[in-house]
Amino acid sequence: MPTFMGIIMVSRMKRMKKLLASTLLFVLLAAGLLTATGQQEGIAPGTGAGPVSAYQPEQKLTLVFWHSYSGYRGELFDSIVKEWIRSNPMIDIKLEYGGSLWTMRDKLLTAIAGGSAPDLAEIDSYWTPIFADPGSLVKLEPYMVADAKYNKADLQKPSLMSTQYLGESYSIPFNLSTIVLYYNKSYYEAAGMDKETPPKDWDDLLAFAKKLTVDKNGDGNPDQRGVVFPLKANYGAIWYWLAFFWQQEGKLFNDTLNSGAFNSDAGVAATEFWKRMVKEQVLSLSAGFADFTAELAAMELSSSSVLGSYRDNMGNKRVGLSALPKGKVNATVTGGGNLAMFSSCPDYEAGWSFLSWLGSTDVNKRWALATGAIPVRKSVLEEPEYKDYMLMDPKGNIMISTLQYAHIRPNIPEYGDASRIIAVAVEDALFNDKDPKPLLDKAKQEVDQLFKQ
Amino acid sequence: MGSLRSVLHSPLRREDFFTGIICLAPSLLVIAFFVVFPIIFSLYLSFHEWAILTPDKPFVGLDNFERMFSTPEFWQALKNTFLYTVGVVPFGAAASLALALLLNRTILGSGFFRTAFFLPVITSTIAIAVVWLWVYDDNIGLLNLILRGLGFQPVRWLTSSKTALLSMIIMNVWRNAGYHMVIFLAGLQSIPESLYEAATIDGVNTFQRFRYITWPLLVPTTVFVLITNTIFTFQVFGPIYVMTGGGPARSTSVIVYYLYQRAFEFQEMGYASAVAWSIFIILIGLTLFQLWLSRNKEKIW
Amino acid sequence: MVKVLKTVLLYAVLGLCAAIFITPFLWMLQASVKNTAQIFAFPPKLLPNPVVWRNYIRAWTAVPLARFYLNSIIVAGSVAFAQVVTSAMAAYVFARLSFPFKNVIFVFFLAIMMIPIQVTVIPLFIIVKTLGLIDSYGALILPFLAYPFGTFLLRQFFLTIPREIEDAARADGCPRLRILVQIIAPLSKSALFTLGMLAFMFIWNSFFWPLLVTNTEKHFTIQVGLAMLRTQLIMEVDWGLLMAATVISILPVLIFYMFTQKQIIKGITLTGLKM
Repeated sequence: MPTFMGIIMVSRMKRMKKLLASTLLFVLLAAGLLTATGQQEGIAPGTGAGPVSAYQPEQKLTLVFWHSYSGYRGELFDSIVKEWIRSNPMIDIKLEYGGSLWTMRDKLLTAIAGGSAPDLAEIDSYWTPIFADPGSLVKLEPYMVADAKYNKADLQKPSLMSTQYLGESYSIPFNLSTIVLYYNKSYYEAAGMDKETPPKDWDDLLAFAKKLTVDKNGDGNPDQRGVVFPLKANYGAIWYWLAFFWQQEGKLFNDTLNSGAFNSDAGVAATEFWKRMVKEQVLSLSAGFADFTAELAAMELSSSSVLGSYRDNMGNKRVGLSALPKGKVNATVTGGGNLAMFSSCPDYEAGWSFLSWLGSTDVNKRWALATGAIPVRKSVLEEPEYKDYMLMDPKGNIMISTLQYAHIRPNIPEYGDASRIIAVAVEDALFNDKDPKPLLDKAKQEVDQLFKQ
Repeated sequence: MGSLRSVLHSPLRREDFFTGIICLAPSLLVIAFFVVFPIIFSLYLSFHEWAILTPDKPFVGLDNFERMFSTPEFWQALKNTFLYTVGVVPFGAAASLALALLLNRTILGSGFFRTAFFLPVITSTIAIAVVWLWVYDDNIGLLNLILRGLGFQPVRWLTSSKTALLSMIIMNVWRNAGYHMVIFLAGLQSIPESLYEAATIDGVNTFQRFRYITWPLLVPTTVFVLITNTIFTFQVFGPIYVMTGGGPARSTSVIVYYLYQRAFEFQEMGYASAVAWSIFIILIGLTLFQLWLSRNKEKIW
Repeated sequence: MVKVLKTVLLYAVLGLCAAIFITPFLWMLQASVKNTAQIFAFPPKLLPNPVVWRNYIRAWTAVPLARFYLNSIIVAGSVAFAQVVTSAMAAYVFARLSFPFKNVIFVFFLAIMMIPIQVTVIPLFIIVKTLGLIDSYGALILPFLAYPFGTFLLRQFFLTIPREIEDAARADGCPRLRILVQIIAPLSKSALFTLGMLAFMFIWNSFFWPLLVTNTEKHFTIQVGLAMLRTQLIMEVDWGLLMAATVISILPVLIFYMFTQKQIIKGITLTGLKM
């Protein structure tokens, strides 16, 4: 009598055969392709002494490092870390892809709760309070201070501030970007505008954008918009709104940080300006993923770090970059990734050794040059290669100059919820064409409730 | 049914009992271990606070539930979810059934059509999202291009709180039509041809065939589709997360998205668990109701 | 004449429906051989010019797509197979056997599907970690070997099979298990293949769980691999590349689907019952 499993197997045979065949095919494919993948060249090798760690552990260590880099940044980061691995056989680094920064947070939370956290990671600078508060991160302040070579004073202020929680650093800066304005020089020329004169203030922005909004096919709907940037809360609109808000000298919270203050004139002005741009049709509520590169929009507010990709896609001559147009004052917002060490790391000294090398002038310079990130160290600006780069391309200078008025979000626990509430209120005013003031007032009440809890 | 005693007395029933155990065992073991434990843990959590990153789980009694009931955002998400489910389930089931009926025959190209309708199901959410964000785009989107071409006013599909939820409903019905079509097809295939043959001999027309043969024999499948569709649609997450983020202005905020935000963005796992269990209560209610409605109809032979 | 009209109408309706369902997929296909600027250009140009076949080549080499493919096939295939087996057995119990508390257990089975995974994912992670399965195939397969969905689906199908056949077999002294395997299973071929395919597809498309439990490229599945192509900043995404990779990732499920559909149709000829 055939066994039970035997019967099932027979009736699954046909499917299994096909599965087996396809599997074999793929295995062959895999074998072929894995060997075919070429070795990528890294960036120029480092100058000066190799990254030999001053601290050497007694036994060989392997530290797990989670990063979110893929594509060319991933390869770059990989080649940099390989230099360390070659020079430090006692401190091996295992790089693991932890998802993009959107998903890495969830993965980190789960891993820490489950007891399988990495030792080191690149984290979004704004996560520092989340992981610092419950003690998941090692406080790096004492290491920064004790390690003279690290030279804490050399760090760009906004970057340093993004690493702090309750006044002390829990991560070190690595990647830095600000929001800047990109503009399409060809479109400027086509509109009879001077392609070396980007908008310098809000009036300019609106006026220029109007000239750059064109209905090419005469169907009553503009096909080319003057300006584009994220307006939806889940695509990070709050960062852009904050830029405009801070340009009106707005304050998010009161001085004692226990109540919202964003429903001020500044908040209303920023929202009204957005509404005006939509009404004048220079800004569309329905933005695509690549409006600037697809040349559907003539200007874009975006992160400084996409410059490289824009240059590749559109050519350096076509892409103009400037600081954000001024409101009452200049202001912009910073973003980026920091490096952190988790308290489950087996050897803090070794971890610090590696992190501080990643955050050193030499590595930062090479990273900034290759990826277009803003250097987190002032000393990088004095390096000859970087100076050459800035001479070649004024855009580097512009990005760095925006640091002086870059704002940081307040590192208080209520900030996350508050920013969400504000973003939704702005969405409502914008997408449903409502009066901003009552919506912001209501949002303020909701935020005040947060503080009371 | 019968009690354990009577079961163990008769040899036939004893065989049934042990067969039952053997057949249920693998499922029960896997589910108990990997699914039920986490669920019980989440029930436990709903009466505690847990910030995920620390092991502390202070007991808070019914605080989470109280907070839930007094949060307008929760009620809005719940309302949206109900509207969404009511929009998706009946239309989705009807559409899938219609497609299955159309394709339940070996006409030329039925294989092609069946594949065509199933394509949206196998495409990943991200790809669907990118395409539909284009379809719904105010300016260059497919739908508005067609509308403008026909002389109508364009619709602000995803950029107005009034229409955003409806847009997501339409997209979901489109996407999952093929999924339930496949299930209906399998159900239709299991209706014996001989019944139809006999009916044709008796001179019964198409509509009567459907009403008196197909529909009654399809009841178990229909029950399955309605119940599982309700359960899964109520818990929709992916498309909302990728496309709208609950917006504009929370008009597409659904209950699981709200739950996800509280759990992972704000590390309030205890509170999120309470929300999860209120979803559970609602779904159990809806399912029991649907099962009760279909109780008598399952005795078909 | 009426028959011809009916057929034409049928094809017209089907054709229109098919167009609605296929269009986004076609968009994806044509986008997969373009570069970003072309994809989002306006007015939309349907035909790619130039055709960027390189996207497909790059899709294989940008990330170890072949390896991810293999992983997904192994994991999805194992789960599909296992779920068909475990669900068939459990479904038989609910459809045919009398059992104390049977209906309560059945509703309990259904109830399991009513808790959103976002709150069970961390405890499940802890369980998997305790078993030492993090970053292994086990983590991707074991928790899904059985699931109530399949049991419910097959139960509904088994209910439609007339009891007479089984009663006859039982009168001959045939044990229940053998009935399940030799009688019920062949009659439910369409349902079994449908379940296998749906389970395969569900695992194939899952992203969150594989992201959480796998750390090394050795174990990443196809969806995690695709995520690697979606860089941090949306403006930098190479959409042509991403679409090419997505097309590649759909193919196995598509093939599997077409294969099972064939099996289901073949199943018609086997289910004819003489009444």
